[in-house]
Amino acid sequence: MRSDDDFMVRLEGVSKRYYLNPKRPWQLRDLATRPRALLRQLQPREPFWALRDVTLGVRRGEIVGIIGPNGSGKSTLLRILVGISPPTTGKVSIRGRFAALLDLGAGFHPQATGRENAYLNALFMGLPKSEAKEKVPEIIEFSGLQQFADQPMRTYSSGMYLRLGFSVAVHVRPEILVIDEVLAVGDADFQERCFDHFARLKEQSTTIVLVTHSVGTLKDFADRVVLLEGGRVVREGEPSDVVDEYMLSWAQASPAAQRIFQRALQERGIAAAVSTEEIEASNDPGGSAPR
Amino acid sequence: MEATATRHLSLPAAARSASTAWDLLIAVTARDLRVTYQGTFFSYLWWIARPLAMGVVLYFALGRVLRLDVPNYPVFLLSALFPWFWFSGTVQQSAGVLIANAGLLKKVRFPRLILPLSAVFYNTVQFLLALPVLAVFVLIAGIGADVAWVVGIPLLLALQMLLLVGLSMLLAPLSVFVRDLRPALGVVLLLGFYVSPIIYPLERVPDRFKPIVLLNPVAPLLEGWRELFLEGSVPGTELWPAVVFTAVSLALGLAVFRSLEKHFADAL
Repeated sequence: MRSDDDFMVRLEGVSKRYYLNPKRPWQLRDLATRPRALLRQLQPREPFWALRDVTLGVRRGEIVGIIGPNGSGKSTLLRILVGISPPTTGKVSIRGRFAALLDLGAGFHPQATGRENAYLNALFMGLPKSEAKEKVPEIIEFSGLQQFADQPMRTYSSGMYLRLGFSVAVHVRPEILVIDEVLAVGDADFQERCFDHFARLKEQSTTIVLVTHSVGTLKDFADRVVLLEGGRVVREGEPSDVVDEYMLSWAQASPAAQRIFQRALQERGIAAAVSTEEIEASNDPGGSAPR
Repeated sequence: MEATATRHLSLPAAARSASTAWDLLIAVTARDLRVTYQGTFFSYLWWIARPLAMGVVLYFALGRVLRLDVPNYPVFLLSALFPWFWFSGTVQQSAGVLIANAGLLKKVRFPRLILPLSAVFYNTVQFLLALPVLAVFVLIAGIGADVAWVVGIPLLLALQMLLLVGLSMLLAPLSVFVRDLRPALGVVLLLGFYVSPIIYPLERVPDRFKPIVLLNPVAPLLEGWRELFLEGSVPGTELWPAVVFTAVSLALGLAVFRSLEKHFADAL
């Protein structure tokens, strides 16, 4: 197989710049009260780089997890990948039909019923009418919402939103499935069903890109994990390596984690003299991330 | 520094044939229509109620109190009020349709053109449902149906719809980036109501004001609808300003929409 053709998703040197809005948008009354603010409006706005020089490839059938703290650029990355937002610089190429579940409520009309929304959502994800109609019963069944399928969506809980949204996304036969942190809303039973389904999709060589904070699931399911921080890829590799390192760096930076850690040690009657550095040394001989 | 986004042929946007996009457009319009009047007893009659109520009030004030000398004044009013409400309703909805669907635009990839087009379709369907009511008024007034309707209605329908498609493609994206546009349109439409030949016939407008009316893209259409229903005459060459406006708005609208659509998700 030609290795270059094997990439379903490829980002090369992708950066995304947003502009920060001024603290208060300029209004007409400022003409009288703050005339100088008008001049400030003419100055270039402050740029903010949500992504910097991200290069990433995802092969057919691969499950790639993306982790990182809030505001590290995960959602921006997915939006660029899916083609909702254009990159400021760099190259994006995607081959294959994809389905994206970037938000719980996206595309659902609160006044329409679950069934209507499932049909419409399938159309939004690019399924032709006949196929969408055909899939609706399957979608409803997978979601486990048979009893509520004809109720308006405004009566649904977030868990029910997720169930329906996820069911649509996996039933439109995507070649690439892109999911932004939403699975956490599902209960244990549904999450299990989701991951069972991921396994089945993987067998059908569906490519999956998944943003999540439930790092445990990534260790089990992902083939590779990418750690984003401040818009850069700081680490990429074996799920357990990247996840452990991410958790450790979080534990070191977080006073709350330190307290929990100290308390656990005290409960075990160990003098709380062990520092996290020592833990790191014993847990992670591989060294720290290139920063 | 250059940014490129390569979307190979098998991508949704490319793979999704025009027919799939059409299915989506129809489904979105149908959902919006269903949802609007869901749970209301009078359902779509509420949309007809607005032009009808306006017709009654205007007929009372201008026809009975001020005794405006226009034959068949009730039909005269309604035959322009219905298309005007279709026009103004679409323009207003178009200016808000992208903002109202911000969540969708930020999270789902689909042909963006669906949204302004659905605003046009939504209002067009309501106008079509209102047409029989107008026909009833024409019959009650003793004017009678005319074979000219067979040609005139589709002609005016198509022309006004194309004009609205153009305006919608133009106004929808602009209203995302210029937030003052929406309130401004409300004012323009209010003025538009009075500078359009709705409550008065075009020929009564003094010559020196005629250019103002000629700059109004809807005026020839309203005159066309009225002549069709009052006199049974198929509009002809006097529609040319509307044809010009339609062509310009379609070309401009498509160009503006195409150049701005990729930025919707970031601007909303």
